[in-house]
Amino acid sequence: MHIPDGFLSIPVATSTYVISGSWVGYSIKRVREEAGEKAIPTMGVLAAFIFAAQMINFPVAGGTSGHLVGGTLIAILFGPYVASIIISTILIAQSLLFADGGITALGANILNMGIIAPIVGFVIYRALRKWHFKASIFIASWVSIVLSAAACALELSLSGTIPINVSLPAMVSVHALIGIGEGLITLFVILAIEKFNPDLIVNAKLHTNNAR
Amino acid sequence: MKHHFIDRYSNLESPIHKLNTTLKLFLAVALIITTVIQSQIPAYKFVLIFAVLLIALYTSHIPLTFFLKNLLIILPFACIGGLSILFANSGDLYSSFIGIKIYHQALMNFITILEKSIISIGTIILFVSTTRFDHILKSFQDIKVPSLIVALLSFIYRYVFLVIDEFMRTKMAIVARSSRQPTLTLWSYMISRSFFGSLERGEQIFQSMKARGYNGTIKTLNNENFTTGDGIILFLCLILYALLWKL
Amino acid sequence: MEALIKIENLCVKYEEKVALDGIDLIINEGEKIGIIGPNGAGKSTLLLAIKGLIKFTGKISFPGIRRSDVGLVFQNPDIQLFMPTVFDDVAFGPINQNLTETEVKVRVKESLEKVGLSGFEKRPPHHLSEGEKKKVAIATVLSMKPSVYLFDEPTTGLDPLSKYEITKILCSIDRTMLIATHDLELISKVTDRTIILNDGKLMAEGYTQDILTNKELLARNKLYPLEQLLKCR
Repeated sequence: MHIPDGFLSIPVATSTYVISGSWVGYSIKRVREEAGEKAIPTMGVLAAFIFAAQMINFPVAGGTSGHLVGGTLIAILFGPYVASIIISTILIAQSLLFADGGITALGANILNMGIIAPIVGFVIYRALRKWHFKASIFIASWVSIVLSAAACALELSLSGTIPINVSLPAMVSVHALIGIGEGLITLFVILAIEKFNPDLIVNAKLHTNNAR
Repeated sequence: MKHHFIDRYSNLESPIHKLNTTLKLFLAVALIITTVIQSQIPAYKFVLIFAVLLIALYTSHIPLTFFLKNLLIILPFACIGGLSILFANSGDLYSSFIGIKIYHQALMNFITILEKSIISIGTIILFVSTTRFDHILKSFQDIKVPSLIVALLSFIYRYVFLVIDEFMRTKMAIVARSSRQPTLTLWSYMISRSFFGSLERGEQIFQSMKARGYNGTIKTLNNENFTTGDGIILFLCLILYALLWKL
Repeated sequence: MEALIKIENLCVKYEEKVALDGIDLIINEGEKIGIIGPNGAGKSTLLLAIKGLIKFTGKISFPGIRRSDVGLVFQNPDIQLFMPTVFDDVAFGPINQNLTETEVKVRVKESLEKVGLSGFEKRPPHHLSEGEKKKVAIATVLSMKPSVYLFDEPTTGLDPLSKYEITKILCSIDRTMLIATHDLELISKVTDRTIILNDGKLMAEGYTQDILTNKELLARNKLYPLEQLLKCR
């Protein structure tokens, strides 16, 4: 889903940069207030953890494998602000260290994967968790992936690169499948985390002391 | 385990490696932007830009095979989306092959995207393999990237392989005690274990930072200067970019 | 001799577990003190409490110095070294002490020289060997020129040569220091005085030589096996 350089028009590239920049800037302010001095070391190792988890291939079901994106996972555990900052930083690192995702498309990539995905995932999880805890996690991660793919398709068509009647069905159908993997992995990881430390799931904050 | 980032040659000594990092960052981004905003890139222009990249590559002592190999690995990922452009139905028919119709305009659009991708990816590979990551981070600090983002990038770079190695060790320990490959449940236990390990490590690093006077911001020394050589390169590149733009 | 650190009735609790239980200790200027004890005895906790990194009850006072004059070298160098290069890591402390750029550079150079790793400035910590990491970790504290050094397991997990080199570095540091370790050979070479911690309590205190020759005392504190296995084949 990483958009490379050259696929976006100037208005789309610049406007997504402005939106992403403002949201990430606001998130940084919020997190600084909440977590204070601990923000750097705690989020730093979390970012390294998610970056690493994205590089590991999981067996999902029926012999297929997938990897974690992690936006919804972090959003469920620590809230959408922390998730936005961590995923955005990972996207910057990937665009440099793997040349994965374009420099000029960074705004759009952050918007899709680092902002839309965690916010959507967080909101759906919060809305549904009282109804059914496990289903809410799966649905939240699945929808977050599908919606960010849809946003990606929309940006490509607004740029005049790929018409919407081609990009939207293609992106959404592929990511409806990828989303199942993301949903299952997020669900299983959250369940495992809950088993070892139920407190962490209840307070979505940077309470690092709970790790002990 | 062996791990690869595209920066493995960033420790070499060469004129390109010695250039001021912020200058290199600026030149790389400027080249990408100049390329990306063109509506079309005629073949001679593409060849010219690619030749400039190759000259820079030669000057930097980075093996050509490394550059081309990485370009060829990354390019298909970038262009998979571009394929739908190739098969778009628009304008005059260019050619028809075993029932697949390719239209002239679509082919031109596809070639343009391909050219843009090659130049941008090539530029990034060149920039990252000629610049140490800690220099990139200091340059980010200078151009006022938020300090939290810079610090997180630094932590990712420092700890990502440590996390992967720990994870692989856990996996080996599990495989060594069972004949089957781990299931999804086991994998998620491993991930959550590494998650708690990360949180604990964060807490300990916080203590270790505190013990050395940390109070919320990470400060570093930046000992890079903008030299006359940097100035000349900047001047030459700006002329080149302007030519590319107007040519 | 002037007392630099006074510890009175120090207690630390981790949730339900009591980690330190009523420790009294006076550390005088120029003293080199070994802290030995079995796993989980509270050695690391004592060092963290002195540096003020964990919550405790009781009193730790610093007559004549400030707490920031105490330097702590952590057991795990992957915790201690968190910056992208050796230079940045060794410079981290001095920069936070608000030294000028020139002073910081001099400190980094001197400290790396002292641990025998001159020229390692540009290296990223994750490419260092375990022994090199431990030495750089020491350099990151040396560069702050503390009045008192706290070392947590400085030689654990190292090969014999690295162990010897670290021992030599510790010998060359002419300052007050506390060394928490299982390595009885290290404290016999470096320290004058030794205390034994077990189960969070101070079990013994005395001259290193006396403590190390008292096999019965060591055995009671899981520092020496009671029976001697000579050979199993």
